[in-house]
Amino acid sequence: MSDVSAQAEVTWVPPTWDEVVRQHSGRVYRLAYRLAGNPQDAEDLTQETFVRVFRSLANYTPGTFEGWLHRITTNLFLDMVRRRQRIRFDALPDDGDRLPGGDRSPEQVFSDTHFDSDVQAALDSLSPDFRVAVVLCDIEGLTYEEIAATLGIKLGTVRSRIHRGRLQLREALRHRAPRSRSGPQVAAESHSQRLTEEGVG
Amino acid sequence: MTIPGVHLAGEAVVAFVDGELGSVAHARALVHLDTCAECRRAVAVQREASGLLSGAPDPIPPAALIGRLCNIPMTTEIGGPDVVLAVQDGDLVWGTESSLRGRPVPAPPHQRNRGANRGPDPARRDSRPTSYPRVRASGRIRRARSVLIGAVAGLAFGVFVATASPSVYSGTNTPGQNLIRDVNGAVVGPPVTGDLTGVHNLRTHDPERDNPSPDGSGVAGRQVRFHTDTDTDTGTDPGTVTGTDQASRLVGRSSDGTGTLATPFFGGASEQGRSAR
Repeated sequence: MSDVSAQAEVTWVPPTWDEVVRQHSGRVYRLAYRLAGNPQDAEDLTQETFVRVFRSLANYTPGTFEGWLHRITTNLFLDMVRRRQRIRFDALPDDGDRLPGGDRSPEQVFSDTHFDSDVQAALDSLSPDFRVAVVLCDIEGLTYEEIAATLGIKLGTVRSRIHRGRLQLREALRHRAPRSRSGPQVAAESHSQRLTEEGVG
Repeated sequence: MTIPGVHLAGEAVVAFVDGELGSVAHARALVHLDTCAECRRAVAVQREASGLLSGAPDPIPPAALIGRLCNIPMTTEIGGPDVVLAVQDGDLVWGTESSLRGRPVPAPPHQRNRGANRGPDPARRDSRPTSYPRVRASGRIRRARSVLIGAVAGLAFGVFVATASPSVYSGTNTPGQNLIRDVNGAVVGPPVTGDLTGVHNLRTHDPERDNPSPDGSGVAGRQVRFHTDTDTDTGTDPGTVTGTDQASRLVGRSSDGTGTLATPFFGGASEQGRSAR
């Protein structure tokens, strides 16, 4: 990422669309999959993200591509969630002309079904806002500052969402966690008193 | 430093785990953790959840999805007033005009405002290439599953054409077997090599490289008009780029034989009313 942006200042050779797709589709799909929780929605989100990218090429400035993709993908996901919350009785996407998952190779099907369904189920149990923060941090490796910029929220909110999101995730995954010596019986939230750290909050 | 009953705040715990505390705060947290088992557990919980996520294998995007993504330029209107998408030497190249402004090929002034016009305009067929800059010369063949209609008819000059029935490409990937042909089936271009797997190929021509024959019978100076088997009229909205996954082809047309390349591939709706530099 940094290599690209470092060179970009000097001589930026516009990539071909194929290069854009091949370079970034894996990342976008991974993010979309972890957020949406299933391959169909992940594909829809990925496709819509790239359509948005294509339509807004004029806004692109070299060096911000990954952040741009993160922002578009997460916003599309949150839009999708809100849309479905409004239409609770029908959560199906209106993609009638596409065959969901019909073109998957055996490896793909294996990957989809075996790829840490526990982790994904735990993620799915988080509220969308927590899920986005945790995924951007732990899967995409963004810094708190980058997450704050991506989601348009404050740093303190980022910390809080990641903290609580991980606690909930850990709770959901308790059954597959390695048995620790004493076990985290005391929930971290139950601290009687908080020590405010410098630089926090 | 550690006061009994006082613990790290949750936000401090998470920031500590992620290395997001300032050095002073980090040092203080370390001191506290040294003596506080409860906070150590809180840190461990955060680390464990984080590790489960970061350690999970990446889902792999299906090949069909990649294909659809690569196809987006064929099925989507381009946006933004300054975006240029051009085919150069078979590469689909995009960016703003300023970013592409490497080695511009000036266009005759009379050509500069015609982007939004379209349809079988004889005058335009004979016109020179427009002013889009040349960007790359890698010579790679790019895949193009669908074919463009209107905007391309109005915009694409100087491209020569590959007529491609799907059967030509499907299942074969042998260099030399695929020749560029014009509408009448005459070979107008060199063998197409490269990635031909099951899709149509779009290729532009570089006269410097391909040494066009002086009488214009070579590949230089041919113009391209894109249409599909399912689309015979050119009355689509200007600037709308459409395409089809079904049998589609690129149909070539001889012109005055003076080809340059750097062909505007399509500009979509944004081309309307925008003068081509």
